Amino acid sequence: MQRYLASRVLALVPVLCGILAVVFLLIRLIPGDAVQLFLGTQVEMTPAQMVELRRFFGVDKPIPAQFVDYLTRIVRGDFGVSLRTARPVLPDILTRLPLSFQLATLALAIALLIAIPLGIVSALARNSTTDVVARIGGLLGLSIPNFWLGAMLILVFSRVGRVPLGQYAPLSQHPLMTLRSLALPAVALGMAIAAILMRHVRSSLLEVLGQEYIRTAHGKGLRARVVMLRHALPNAMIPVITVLGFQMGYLLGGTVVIEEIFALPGMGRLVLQAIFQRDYPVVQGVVLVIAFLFVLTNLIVDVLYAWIDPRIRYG
Amino acid sequence: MSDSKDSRKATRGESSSYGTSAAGAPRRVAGGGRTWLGRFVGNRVAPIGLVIIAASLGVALCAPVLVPHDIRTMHPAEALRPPGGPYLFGTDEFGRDVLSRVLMGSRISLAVAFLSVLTSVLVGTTLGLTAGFYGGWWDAVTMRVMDIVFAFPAILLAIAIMAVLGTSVANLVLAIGIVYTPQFARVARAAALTVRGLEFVDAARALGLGNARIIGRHLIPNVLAPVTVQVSLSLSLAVLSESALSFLGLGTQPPTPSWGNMLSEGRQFLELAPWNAVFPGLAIMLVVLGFNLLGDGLRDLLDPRLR
Repeated sequence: MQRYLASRVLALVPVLCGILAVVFLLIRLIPGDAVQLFLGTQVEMTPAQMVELRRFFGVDKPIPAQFVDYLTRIVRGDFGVSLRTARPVLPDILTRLPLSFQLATLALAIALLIAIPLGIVSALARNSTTDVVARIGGLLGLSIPNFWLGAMLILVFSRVGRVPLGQYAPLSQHPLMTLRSLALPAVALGMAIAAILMRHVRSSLLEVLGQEYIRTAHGKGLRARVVMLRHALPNAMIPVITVLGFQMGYLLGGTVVIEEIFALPGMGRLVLQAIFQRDYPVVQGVVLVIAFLFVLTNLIVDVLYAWIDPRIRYG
Repeated sequence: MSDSKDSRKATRGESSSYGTSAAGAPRRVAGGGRTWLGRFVGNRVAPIGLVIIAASLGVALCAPVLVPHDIRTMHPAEALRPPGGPYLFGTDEFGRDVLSRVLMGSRISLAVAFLSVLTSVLVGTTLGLTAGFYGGWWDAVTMRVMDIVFAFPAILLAIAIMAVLGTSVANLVLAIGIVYTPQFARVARAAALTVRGLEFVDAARALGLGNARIIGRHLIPNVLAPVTVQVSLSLSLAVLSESALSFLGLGTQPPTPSWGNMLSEGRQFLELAPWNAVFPGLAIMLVVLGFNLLGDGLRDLLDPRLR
């Protein structure tokens, strides 16, 4: 297991370098001069001042040297300084990280809570009315844009009660309030994942239920519930976990859109605001942090997968 | 035909005591006609998807003729009218007809989706096919680059690309196209790898066929099926991405109507005039559902492993 873990972590190094290169080069793609862009159109500079500024920002060096500078700074935890607030980028991102992370986690939990029972029912009563309804629901869930679902949830729930828009209390201070402000956004974000997972739980379970060891389990007189929970479900969940890894990107990226519609002060709103203010160090920082989180969650899923299924780590 | 019907009946009969005779491996065949077309029609979901997509394309093409009202003229006196009367879907805050704008919005949403997926298919399939066929350093470099693109959450990468390139339809196509390229590269590479080792490729080479001929004649036909399935599913994601980017203000810009920016504008009057947000969303959902149904159906039809 340790060897497997080590090899997985090692394999991440080129990917992480690639992510850093993309985030670094992204800013170089902006049409126009970076320094001029920073100054805006109002400020007039003499050529000598421009040269001085270019040296100050380190953009007078060749691109590879700039990249090495960038790598060195990132490794030291220096993500640059916001062009608008002049504050370091990383602390600002880290204060907003918990909200986005909790939102994604809650969305995942809701998705699993919906997907597993529905998938089981659907597989057990295959082609029954319940199954057909669940599968149509799955396709619909897959097709609803999450931000539209969010808007509709706001619309419906504001008729029956008060929707806490834009309010967020940190989990450590007021857990119930956190849950209240994240519940609807998490439903909006989790629905598509629930749909995808439900379809995979169903098909995976159908495959497992056809295996001989399930027949054996029934044959030796185990109750249906025991066969399902001890023998069928754990094996059926193995391929579902792989799918889960792919969907982490959707969850992390989706927080950007969902935070916007529910006016939640997370990383997503930070990056959107930064985009419209042309505050590129903040944009770079958030993209980098979310990409790192995606890689990390994928690593966790991979390790989980190997831990559950020994064939992977010895394969 | 009869075989699949019987197995379906059998599993339904056994559904109360599951598992005992769940008909072996899962078979998702719905109707097993002998011909390709027969299977397509027998497979109930794919034709529904195809009809939805064909209808949406028809609407998009004929939108300028179909719209009951001009989408640019503002009628302040008619602002925020509820659905009904001359305005089937109501009007927006400028008194513009929501139905007309939803119809016209289909043009940009579908055009961006098709063009961006076309970009992904051409680039991704070419890279994947050559990577799988030639192997070696080309394979290693191409697939590592694809891994890196894949290491970003799709919508986040599209947001970042739009943020630096600026909002234009061409950039929208490029951003969404880049994001969905790795999937095609992977699908094409996997197909190329399985085919490369087969005897008929050796035979073709022994006959003196060049690499280009082998790729064109023997590899491409074999990757068509998985790529077609991926096209349909990617189109559904591309429609969602376009609307999400436009919703965030990073895609299609007003006054050009797109389903995403209509939703964003309609959101400001959510309580007062919900129809402004409801109808564009329903349009997105319908088209995405169409592509998903078609993709699912095509997968059942073309991917023998799942049959």
